[in-house]
Amino acid sequence: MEHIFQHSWQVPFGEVSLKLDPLSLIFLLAVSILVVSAGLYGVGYMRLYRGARPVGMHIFFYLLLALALVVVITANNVILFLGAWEVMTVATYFLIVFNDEKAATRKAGFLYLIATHCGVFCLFLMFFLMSHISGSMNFDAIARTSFSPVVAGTIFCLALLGFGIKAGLLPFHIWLPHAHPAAPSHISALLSGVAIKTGIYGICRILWIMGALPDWCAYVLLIMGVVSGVMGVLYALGQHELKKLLAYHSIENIGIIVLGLGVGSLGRGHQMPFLTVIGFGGALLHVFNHSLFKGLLFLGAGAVIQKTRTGEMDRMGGLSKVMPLVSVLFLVGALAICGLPLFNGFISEFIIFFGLFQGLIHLPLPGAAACALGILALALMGALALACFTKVYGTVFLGRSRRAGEPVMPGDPSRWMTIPMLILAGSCVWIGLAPETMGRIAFSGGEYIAHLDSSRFNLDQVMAPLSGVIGGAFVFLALGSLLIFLRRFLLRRLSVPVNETWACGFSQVTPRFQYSSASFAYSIVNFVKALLLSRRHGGQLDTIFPGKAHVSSSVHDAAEESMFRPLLSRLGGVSKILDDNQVRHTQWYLMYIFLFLIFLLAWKMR
Amino acid sequence: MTTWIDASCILIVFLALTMLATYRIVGIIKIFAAQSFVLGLTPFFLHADGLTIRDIVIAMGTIVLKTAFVPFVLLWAMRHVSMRSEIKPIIGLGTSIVFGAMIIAGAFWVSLSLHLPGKPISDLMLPCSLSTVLLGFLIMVTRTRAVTQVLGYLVMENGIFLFTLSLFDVMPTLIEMGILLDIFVAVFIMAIIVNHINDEFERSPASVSRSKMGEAF
Repeated sequence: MEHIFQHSWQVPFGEVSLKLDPLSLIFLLAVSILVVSAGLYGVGYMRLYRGARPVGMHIFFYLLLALALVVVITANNVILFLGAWEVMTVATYFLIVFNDEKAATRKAGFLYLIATHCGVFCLFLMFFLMSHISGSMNFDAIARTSFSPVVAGTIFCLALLGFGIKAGLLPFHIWLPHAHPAAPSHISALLSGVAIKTGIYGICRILWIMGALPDWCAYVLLIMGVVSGVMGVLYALGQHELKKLLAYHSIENIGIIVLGLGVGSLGRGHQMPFLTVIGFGGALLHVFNHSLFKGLLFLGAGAVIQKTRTGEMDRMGGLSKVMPLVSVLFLVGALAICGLPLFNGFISEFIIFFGLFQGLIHLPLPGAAACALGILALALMGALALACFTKVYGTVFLGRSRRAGEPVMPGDPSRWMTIPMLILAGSCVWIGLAPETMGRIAFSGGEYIAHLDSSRFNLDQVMAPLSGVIGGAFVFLALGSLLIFLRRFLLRRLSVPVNETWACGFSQVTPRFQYSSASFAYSIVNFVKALLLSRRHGGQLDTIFPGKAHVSSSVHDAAEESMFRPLLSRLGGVSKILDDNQVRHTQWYLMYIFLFLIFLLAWKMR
Repeated sequence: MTTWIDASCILIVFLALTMLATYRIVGIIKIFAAQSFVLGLTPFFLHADGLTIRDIVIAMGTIVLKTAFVPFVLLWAMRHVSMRSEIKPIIGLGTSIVFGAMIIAGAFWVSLSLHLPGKPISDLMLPCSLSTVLLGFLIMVTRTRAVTQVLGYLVMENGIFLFTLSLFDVMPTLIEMGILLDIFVAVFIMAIIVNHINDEFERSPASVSRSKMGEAF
């Protein structure tokens, strides 16, 4: 299934060539669902700013971003792709810096712009290398060329770097945890749901174009996936700010997707079509699923933040009584992202698990070892994600409000904001209960990446155990409901008194006695503190009758603190030395350009 | 027709050189207006077999924008925004002219070995456009006031326009893009007037200007 739209374009080497194939289809589906629901949500969300901030400009860039996303995903020409990619980057920048009166937002936007342009640089190199060798700018023509292993390896590395920065793969993710919290919530949803997926799309497209890659590439993908996934969820556990936590979960899920791509590449390297399609298909399905539930979670977070006017989880609490509908929808998203059965996250993670086990059984030793590592990591990610969302849901929605004074007005947000969330939550449950339709679309995408014929393998091999698990989950759910019903039934005569929680004898109990987000995650964060750069200040009681004491804890990003900051500060030092030697007249700089121009002309005369 | 084009090419270079030798900014603006007028007439001579609509539109656009609008705004600004009227050269006028002459010679020498696509309309077009670009650049480099920077840029841009005229029929949208550049300059001038930039652009210690340029890290 391929539809190509072709038109000439007055740009050197460019042509308007759009192609809809199974690979773009699944990304296009994710884009359309999320752009529409986040857009509707934005109508409600932006009401607050009407008249005060340039909302019209925001809408313009939103639509521009939507257009650029569609073109990026369907472009079939290098120039068109890069152009749309650039438009996407710039439009996203303007969307991120909507609240530009805050210094943190401006900084986050600038960091985003720098990081993505470093990525674009790699992409330029990669695409021009590819076009130079194949002699064409058309993806189809490039895909027909065969590359030598060294060139293929170089292209793969450049793609991983260039697209990895956009996708937020560790350790190139540093822009992501800053940009997501800075942007308005529907933009975070769009960023996390589809904009970073364009990086994954790029990697998939390169896997499709290159055909056979050297063997080590599969291992690199798998390891990168494992590292991103595990570290992403660990960092998420240490966060206190809701949207930053969700941003780190995006890194985790990108890790899972790349892990799936790694499994697929392993299968392709060993000529195992079934494993290949399972790996790629699972990754693509997770792309779609992640955009649904992460979009839902960010929209939910936006509603929460607009209600409480803070992003700090430790100042929230008890919101399930304030906004019941949002709390239920957020719960759906949380269950889905944890990969629990009956929701969509489970389906794609199960497929990737299935692929990993297939690899463990059928692959020779190094591949099997990598798959075993992947299984362990994926299981760990699932468990940690569960811990993390228990923390989020518990701190934000359960318990009692931790804020002193000003009570929060009860009530769910307007329909503009809840209906998009309902659509997303509905889709999550739909895929969780009936995975067949989206599964087929994702698998046909997987077959397409691997250049395989769809008749060669039977999807039911995966779907049969899957429906078994879903059935089992249903039985479990029914049993649980039965028990709850039974308890209600037996206790219907007794009145259950509601009292303060017993607080070990303290007489003046305040809601701040509740577990905070930091204390809930403390045992896990402390266990891996060597990896997390976790810091804790204060909180030591040294007298018998202690006075006031403060404790603060924070988790710092190792990639940012020990890799990029030292590197960039050294770079800044070098350029400062160069800079201080300059005479600071505009004319001098102009003269350098002038002399260089003359030099070029003289060189031409040579 | 080639004679007319040759004449206007030489006139354009000559006027650029005159600008380099002029001390008062008002004078430079007037010479610039004259140069742009000559440039604006050039499209009329391009096609020996009668005018096309595109010739007329381009010529009229150039004349309106560069001969009337930009000089008018600049002169208005000179009168009303209390800008100083003399240039502040880094090198003297005599030296400037010597440099200018060397640049023209160099441009002619370089253009011997440059070959343009299509049939050349006039042999003088390429070296003259190159000279005008470089002379404009020289004005930008050696004069320090903001207005002279803009004027240097405008002269350079006239050179670019002359160059694109030589590719009039080969590259279709190039000239239209040149006119877009003019509009950019117009905005540029507005900014100068609005912000009362009199002497120069930013000339502060590097540490200060960095904090203004961006706030990352």
